[in-house]
Amino acid sequence: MHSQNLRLWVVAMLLWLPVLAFAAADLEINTPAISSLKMAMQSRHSQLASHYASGAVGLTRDGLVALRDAALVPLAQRQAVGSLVAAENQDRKALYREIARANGHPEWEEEIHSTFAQRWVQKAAPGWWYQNHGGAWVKK
Amino acid sequence: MRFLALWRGYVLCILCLLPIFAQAGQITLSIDDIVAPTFHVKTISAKLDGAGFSHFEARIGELSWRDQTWRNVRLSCSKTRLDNGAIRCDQGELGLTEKLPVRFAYQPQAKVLDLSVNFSRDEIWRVRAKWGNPGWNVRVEADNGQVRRLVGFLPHNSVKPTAGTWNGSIGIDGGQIGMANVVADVKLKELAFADASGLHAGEKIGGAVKLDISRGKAGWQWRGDVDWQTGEAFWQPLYFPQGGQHFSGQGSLEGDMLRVSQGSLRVAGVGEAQLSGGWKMAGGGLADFDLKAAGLDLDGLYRLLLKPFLEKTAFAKLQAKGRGDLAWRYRDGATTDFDLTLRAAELVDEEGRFALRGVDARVPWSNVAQREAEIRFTGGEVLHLALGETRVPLTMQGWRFTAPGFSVPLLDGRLNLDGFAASRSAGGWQWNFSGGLAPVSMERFSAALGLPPMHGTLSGIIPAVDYAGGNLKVNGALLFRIFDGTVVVKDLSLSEPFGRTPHLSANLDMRNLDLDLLTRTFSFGNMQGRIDIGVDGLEMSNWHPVKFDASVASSPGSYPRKISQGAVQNISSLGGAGAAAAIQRSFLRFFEQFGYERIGLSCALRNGVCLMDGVEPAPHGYVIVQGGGIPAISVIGYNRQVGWDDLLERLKRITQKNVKPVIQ
Repeated sequence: MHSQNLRLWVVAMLLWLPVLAFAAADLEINTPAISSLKMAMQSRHSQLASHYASGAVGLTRDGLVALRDAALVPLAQRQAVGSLVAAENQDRKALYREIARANGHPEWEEEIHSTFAQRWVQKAAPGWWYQNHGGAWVKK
Repeated sequence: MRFLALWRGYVLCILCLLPIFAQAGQITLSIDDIVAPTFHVKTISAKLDGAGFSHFEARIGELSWRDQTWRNVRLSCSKTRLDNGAIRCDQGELGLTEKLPVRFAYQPQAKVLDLSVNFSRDEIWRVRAKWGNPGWNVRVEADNGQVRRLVGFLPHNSVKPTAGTWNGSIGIDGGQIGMANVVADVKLKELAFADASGLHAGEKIGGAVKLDISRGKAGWQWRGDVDWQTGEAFWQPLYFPQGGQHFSGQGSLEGDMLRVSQGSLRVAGVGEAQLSGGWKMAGGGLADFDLKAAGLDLDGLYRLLLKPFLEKTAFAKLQAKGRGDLAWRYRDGATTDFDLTLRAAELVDEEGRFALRGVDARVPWSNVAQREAEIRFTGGEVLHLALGETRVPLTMQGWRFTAPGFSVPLLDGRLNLDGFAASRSAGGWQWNFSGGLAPVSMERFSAALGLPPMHGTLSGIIPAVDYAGGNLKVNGALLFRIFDGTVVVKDLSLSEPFGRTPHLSANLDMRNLDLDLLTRTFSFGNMQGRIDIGVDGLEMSNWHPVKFDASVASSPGSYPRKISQGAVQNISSLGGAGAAAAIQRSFLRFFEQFGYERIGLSCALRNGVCLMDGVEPAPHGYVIVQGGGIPAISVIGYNRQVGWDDLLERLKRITQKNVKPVIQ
């Protein structure tokens, strides 16, 4: 009985290992690529902020952004906002990939996506829209 | 077509009004519920009563048409006249969503109903329905008709008109077999439409639509003309800021296949194209098409139609000029042939990465046959390096392109490419080439890249370069001659070279570089001699080094070894505050140059810190320059760790500001 419990503990610990290992990921790690991506995203943020506030653009559950209601954007700007969203997503994907790579674990990319998704929602201003775990849009 | 089917339903509804039962002083119309797939009418009653049957009233409990339902619809007239067998009313009222003034006349003998609805003083809709042998017809006319009233007639998931008016007429003819012909001649003003997502929308659109549809033996034949004169539209991802578009054509509708047998499309600022093709309406998409266009404006073509699809490529921000012709054949969901011609074209990357000018090209591509293409340009640049007149011959076998060999003038030298091959597969594009670089003067090369003026020439051999799956790899060693020495680049690979964060890894081995040329170039203070530089395990992220083991050491052999006062001071300052020239300052005062035995400095870059070492250990430090000859000088470094950014800053200060040593 004792050995069975021990075996269960060992199995449980082994199952937890990847999680524990990921918990050790340094999300603040910096490399030239990461800082260049952050700078690009920062400068783009001023163009996107009003669209987050209006609800035209929302934060997705996988750490990206999406044009959730194009009708809130004046017609002449819709194409440009679509381009901004595409560029932001390109940078976000590259950022998560770079952080995983800089941590020496490219396979963590997916977990970093979802960790950042929670971070973005926490940092979002009241009134911004985000996707909950079920994929539904929710106003913060 | 659905709209027309609905009108047919209206006529059937009117036909149902025919059974009439007369009682004393009252005529009651007996009408059953009408239920059809697209509409239903329930609880219908109508009567004529009053003095001389002057009062008419019809009620419909529920009228439903597609998504739209009206309840308690009431058509009444208190001054109905019976005039030569016709029932007429000049001041009736239609209670729909609001009470609307109507006029109507019904001629039972001729089986003609005329109905006129005044939604407002300016907005009038007129309907004339006629039935009997040999068939029936309905004609709808409008003066300033609000287009939004048609929302209920449109498919559920389609774009919906939200504003705008129409003027003109729509006529529908039919017989026992159903609808036979539809003719529309409509002018639109200030039209706005949108779908639920907002990804397909238009505003302030003005124009004209003419349409003629007839039932044929195998299906429907159509002929149409659409003139979009003003207004803007966004059709994800395309945006048309203004009108000027025109389409005219004819074709057929057989089953769910809408076919354009002959069409002409003009897009403002782009040009005109002749086209034909088939569209599977039930979600099947484009089945086939042929398109021919001549003299297209490349600027408009790129900005309006191509740019939105190239956002994730190197061609996302271009300035395009010139003219082009295109013939394009598409069958069963794939391109089978295209023939592209460019004339006097210019393609300039707005981010300054590349430019091609004076481009003339002919690319007659086929997915089955081998074809020869030729691309010429008179000049251009890549990363600010000027390219000269070039001719690129291409052999195309489907999506496999090969070039036997061509040469691109690069600055005052040439880049010779041999055995270029590119192909496209499910994993994307892959290509490879080999070649060489004929001597390019370092003066021009450095000036083009904004580097300090360098001397000598740059030449080399480029072994096999492969690009596949987003990774570029050089098989073998790249060999260049620079600063009178050699540079060998081995194990070079580059991942995502066109992505947001390119990663490079390589090993560099530089031999026998002339220190005199090198130090003159970088204003470092003169040194004479030869050095070898090795950079092992170089890793760069976004073109910034993140890891390497680098060493600089005097080359073996016999050659003059001299170092100037300035160079001594600069080398000392690289070691940080703890480094110093290991000689007495008073001695420096009398000599411009000193002899040395050997030079050595290494840096192992890890986590942004350079771990430094020299030729050999010294008390509390390491020897960077080991003195030799008369007068001799030695330089000792004391800082073992220097931040990489700090080191770069010091080098920048030394080389750019040309710091002079202060001799006391």
